[in-house]
Amino acid sequence: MKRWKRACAVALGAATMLSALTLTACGGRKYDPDNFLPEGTQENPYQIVKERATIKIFVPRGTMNPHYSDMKMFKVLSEVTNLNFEFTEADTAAYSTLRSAAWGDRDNLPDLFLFSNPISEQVAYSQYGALVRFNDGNMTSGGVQAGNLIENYMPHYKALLENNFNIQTATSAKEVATLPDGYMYCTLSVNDVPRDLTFKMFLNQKWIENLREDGRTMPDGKAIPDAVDIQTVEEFIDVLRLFKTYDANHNGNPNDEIPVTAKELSYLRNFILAACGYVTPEIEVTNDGSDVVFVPQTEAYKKYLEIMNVLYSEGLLHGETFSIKTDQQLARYGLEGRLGCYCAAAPYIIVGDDLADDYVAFGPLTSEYYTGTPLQWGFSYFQPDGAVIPSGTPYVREVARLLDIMYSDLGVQLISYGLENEDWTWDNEEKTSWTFSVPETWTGTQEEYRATITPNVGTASGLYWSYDFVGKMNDKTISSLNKMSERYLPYLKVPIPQEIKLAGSEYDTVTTIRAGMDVYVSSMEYDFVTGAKKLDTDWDTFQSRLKQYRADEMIELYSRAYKQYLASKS
Amino acid sequence: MVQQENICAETLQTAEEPRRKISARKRKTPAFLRNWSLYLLLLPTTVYLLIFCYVPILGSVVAFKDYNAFLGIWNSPWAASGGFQHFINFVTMPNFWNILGNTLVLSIASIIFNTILPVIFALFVNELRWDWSKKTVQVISYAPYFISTVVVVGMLFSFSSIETGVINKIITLFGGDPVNVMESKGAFAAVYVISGLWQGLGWWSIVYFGALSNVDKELHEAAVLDGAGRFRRIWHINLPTILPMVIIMFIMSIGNMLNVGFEKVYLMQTSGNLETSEIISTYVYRVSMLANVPQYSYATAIGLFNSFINIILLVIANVISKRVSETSLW
Amino acid sequence: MVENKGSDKAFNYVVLVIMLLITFCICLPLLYVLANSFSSANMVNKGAVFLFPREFTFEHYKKVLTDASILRGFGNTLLYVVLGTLIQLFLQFSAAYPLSRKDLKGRTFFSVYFSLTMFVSAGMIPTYLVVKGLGMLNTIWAMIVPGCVSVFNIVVIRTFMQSLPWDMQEAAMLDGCGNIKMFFVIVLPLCRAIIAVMVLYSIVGYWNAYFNSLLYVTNDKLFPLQRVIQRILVANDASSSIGGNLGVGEQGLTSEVLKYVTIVVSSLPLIVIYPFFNKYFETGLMIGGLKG
Repeated sequence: MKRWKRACAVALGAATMLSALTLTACGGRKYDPDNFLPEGTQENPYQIVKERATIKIFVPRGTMNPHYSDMKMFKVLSEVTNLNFEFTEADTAAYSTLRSAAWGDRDNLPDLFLFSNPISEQVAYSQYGALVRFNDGNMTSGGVQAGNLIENYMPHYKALLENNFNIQTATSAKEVATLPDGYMYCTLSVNDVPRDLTFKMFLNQKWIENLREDGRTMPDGKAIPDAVDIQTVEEFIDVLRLFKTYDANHNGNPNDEIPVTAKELSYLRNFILAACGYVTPEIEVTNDGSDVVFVPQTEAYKKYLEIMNVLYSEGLLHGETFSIKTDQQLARYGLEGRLGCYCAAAPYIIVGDDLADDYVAFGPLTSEYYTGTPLQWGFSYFQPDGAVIPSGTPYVREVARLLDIMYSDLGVQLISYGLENEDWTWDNEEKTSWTFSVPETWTGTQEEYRATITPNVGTASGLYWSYDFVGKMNDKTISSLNKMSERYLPYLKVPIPQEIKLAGSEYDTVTTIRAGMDVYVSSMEYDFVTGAKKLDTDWDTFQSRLKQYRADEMIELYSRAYKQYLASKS
Repeated sequence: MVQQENICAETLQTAEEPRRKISARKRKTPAFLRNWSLYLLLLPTTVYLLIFCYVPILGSVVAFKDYNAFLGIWNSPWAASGGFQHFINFVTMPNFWNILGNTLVLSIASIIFNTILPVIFALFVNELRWDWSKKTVQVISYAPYFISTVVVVGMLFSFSSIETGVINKIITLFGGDPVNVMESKGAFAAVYVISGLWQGLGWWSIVYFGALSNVDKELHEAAVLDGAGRFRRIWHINLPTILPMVIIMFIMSIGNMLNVGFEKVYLMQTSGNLETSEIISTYVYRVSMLANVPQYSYATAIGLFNSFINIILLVIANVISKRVSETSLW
Repeated sequence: MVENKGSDKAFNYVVLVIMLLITFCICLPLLYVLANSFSSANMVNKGAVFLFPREFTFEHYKKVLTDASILRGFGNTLLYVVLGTLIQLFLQFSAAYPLSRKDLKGRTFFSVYFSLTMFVSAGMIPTYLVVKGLGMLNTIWAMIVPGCVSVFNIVVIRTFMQSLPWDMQEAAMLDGCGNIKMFFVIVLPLCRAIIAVMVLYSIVGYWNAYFNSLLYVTNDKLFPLQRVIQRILVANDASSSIGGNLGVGEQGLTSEVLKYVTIVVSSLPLIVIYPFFNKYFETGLMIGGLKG
């Protein structure tokens, strides 16, 4: 025992000495405040500095992205602004660790964290003055008196904030960007492209026509409705039953049809759950807007489990749904023409180009249980995670202007498809559509080519992914996807408004609670759906166990934040 | 073993006398000075571990704090409950016993099979008398080790598919009802261990191939003359030669009891088997790398908890081993 | 080896049959990987390939092997393997030898000091800060030095060294042989078998190293093979872009095949080198007539 103690003591002592040695400090760059151009020059409104200066930027880098310094977007930006960029690229596979490590090295903080800035971090760090405020009239950083950045240096962003980015929604962009203390510590990332705002459920219209041809009808004797006309989950199930019973794909075998499946249950879950009144199995605002609930604690969730149990026990839900994890595994059945209904980003990914046209997007549905407005799970238009500036950098004004350019037309075009007349060209005078030009010499895919232009590929990074520009792309597949997605837009429900923010430590509490509880919920969901546990007998146990997992504590945190938000609105 | 020790003892005795002379000559210099060159040999690795292990381990102090990357490791505030809040949160979690139990089941099953079977495998490969067969068996059994976990798990899913999987074809062949073993609570540990063995059997036995080359061939000749059969020779000569290595491996795996790697288990998880497949490391993965709000302090606290239990187990195993077999880690 | 009885021969055949059976079982999934790597994307996605390729094609191999970054990845990994193995062997054997000596004062201290690191692990962020503090980020050293010493291996080597007959070292000592000379001239040659094992471990370790590159290396030019392969796989996986922006084309379907191809490509060199090491597992103590 004595030896042990001595051993440990010596080891620790030596280690402490060494840790002191490894601390290193780095010299800063020299900052010249007069080098800054608040409004560019006559010939070049984008110019930010007179003499070249270097900005250090921290960015996420996905596996598809080349180096940021090699991307067309930043080459162009560097040229027009006269700034040099020095990137610290964090691989997305270890992003949060590397980000944390970057913050840990306080002497070498970058001038800008671009993309993927978690709100929890803003809440936690802002109270220590770690972040630059975008809307503070007294803003000083690194000895530079900058004032209200949005007012003074970000005209494009200011205008967009004023008119809510031209998006018809109850969500206020300004409120999403603002923390409870009234300040904005980030700029928004904005997305209003329909196909990227929700997931899509596809139903086999061809099969429906086949069945009609065979003289099949719905159980009540009426004709089978078109996929897009299916209104309720009960009708949906009846159609699936027909798929199951008959030879819907006309290949001579009535038993090989897979009525419904999904890559990961979550998409199908959110679709069926929406027909019961909630769009996710998470914290969600009630439909009357009065409070928030944890959906697995609601009757709607029980109803959802009942429906899923019917799908499973009748063999309508594919038996492998719980173990399929990739599109490829689903594609195995899709390519054989055996799928009736599934969820995917686009049909051709699952069934190939030949069968893709058989499938149409349908829903959202209601049910006997829920008869209100149909609901569809929607991603938020605005995310408070676009860009943050660590306080202490003298380059606040330069960075603010750089960010503003990214919200201008030039920025929107660069982040999506590059430079006008070089990477894409308007098809007509009225500028209603444009064509993306991939060089003939390019051997890879279109997306691989786009990756040489913008960081948007793979990671979906971007400050402003604007439908006004992206929607005008002259591409058959993409515009048909947008069209199909548009049917969901009126029904989108964001589970919990982005305006709602918890306090810093509350995010930690919620994360810890959820890590254990999510596993339990999904395990129970499996048991209820497959019938291993019965809703009549085991539902109460499930509920009391959720309480043990501190579900109520979590609800309370969100409920309080939500009430505050309601109060501030009225 | 016994014979070898006798030989050793003899040589030691004969060496005893001159050794006394040496020590007489060098009596005045203390032992650690006389062996200074041994410390010189130890120096590089000792310094290495200091820098790359002990210095970062000091960072584990965040387990007792509420880590905030901006404030840094040293300036972050202390956690509640005298710094122990994260430990309390972990052990009072409703499924704490469940995931601890799952971890132990996987771990103990792995230790038993992964320690014993490679030894048996190595012993029998060593008995192969044709060069070609030995080489073939070794090369093929070692190859699966290089297949990445992602693909191995992908194969497991594909083999256990209800419609097309081999496993269910075999089950139905014998008249059973098809089941997806990847969604079965009961089969998880078995699938985990068997697939692990398939991948690692050849690889883990390599170290024993090396040690088996140490077997004194004169002993075999003597034993054959005494009329000892093959099994007796394996048991009394080959096994004792590699036994210290086996015991060391065994002790070390006990010292890693709670550190079951997360990657394979995580990939194998389906909502059907979560009740038996959620283990400590996958839970840690959920709260750290996978979480939107990574909980470094909490994850570190769980890591320390693991280390604490591991070291207790290790010390116990080591003491027992020292008593019983005179082999020990230190 | 000595054999004299008929029962021995029978035993030989029984062992042979059993071992070949086991090998065959191990072999089946390997064939599965191989067969899939030579099949068309369509067949692989349908799960139609089992032990023989369907719609045989070299196309995917061509795609992987002509990728410019793959060659650089091979080159880098080779460099890391060679340098890393040299450093690793030196650090591990030089530490293991003193620990194997019963007459080393403070042996318990060093054993505990070494072993503890096996069971208490440091967090990623503190380790990252150390690597950064040493100026290793984005250098080849970041791929070689962190994680270079495996205490597990040191213990294995030490155990092996302890099983060596002590009398030879004793005799050398009497002849006035110093410790360092003893280590290099007498002990290491006896350790051929375990050196072979450790070289193999080290090569495989460095060959498969991936995670260090994620944390410490952002420059493409320094990427090891495994990281390059990872990029190829993900770049071909359409499912990575769900909810994001869609690419057009069928590239999603090929990623399943590419998985198998890259496994074959990246593990073949390791499988091929095995027989070279195997030779050393067979050489025992008799070599060089050192055994008295």
